[in-house]
Amino acid sequence: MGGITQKVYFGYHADVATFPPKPVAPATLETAAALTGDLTMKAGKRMFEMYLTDDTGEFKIDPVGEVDGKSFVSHLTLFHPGLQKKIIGFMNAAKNENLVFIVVDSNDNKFLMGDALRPAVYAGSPDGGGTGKTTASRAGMSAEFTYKTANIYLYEGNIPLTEATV
Amino acid sequence: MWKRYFKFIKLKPGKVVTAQFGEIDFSADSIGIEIIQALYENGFPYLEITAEGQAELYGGISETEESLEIRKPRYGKKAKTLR
Repeated sequence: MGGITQKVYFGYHADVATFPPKPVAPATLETAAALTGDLTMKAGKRMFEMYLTDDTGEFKIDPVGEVDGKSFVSHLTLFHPGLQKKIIGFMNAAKNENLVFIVVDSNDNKFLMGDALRPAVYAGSPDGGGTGKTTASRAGMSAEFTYKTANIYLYEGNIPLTEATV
Repeated sequence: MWKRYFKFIKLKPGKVVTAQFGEIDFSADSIGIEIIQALYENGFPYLEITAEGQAELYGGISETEESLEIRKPRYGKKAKTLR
């Protein structure tokens, strides 16, 4: 089944206390694809969830680079309906911030965009945003985020949506 | 009910998207003890068992185990039915 779920999870890169470690000398292809452990947040910080309209979100992996220097750029695109304070505030905050995302696909695979070295960043609004021209238009905001990484990993931990206390 | 047997730690009580069961609001009292126990036994990092939970769910710990500070759940032993 294709597509992503109707929620993505995000946080500020600077608020992350620890990232799950990457596999070291993995014995199988499966273990080479998975991070072990949890992403944890600094005290008083948390991750957030954001709703997106069904079938408007996509997680895409693009291989980039020259021979012997290949890496990946992953892209998250989404459309959030409406122009409420929450989405406007998010766009204001996210446009120049370093972020992390956890994207859940329709098969419950979770992709972590961001690691200790590199964040996910706002790349633009691929389908624009605003009120639309007609009353039948769909108001809202589209957004794209990118993350450059040497390898793609699945996240198998938990996602804390409440503030860390330690 | 479950809060008698387990303590939610490291986070303020609230929502966590668990790898095992999806989103759970740990501020609620109504979460099934089977779910909480399964999370704990699977190494969920935000739960700590209470002395009452240890005694009720895993039959307590022996003096020998206590002296060795072994406080892990006894896997494979069927938990008591809760009333």
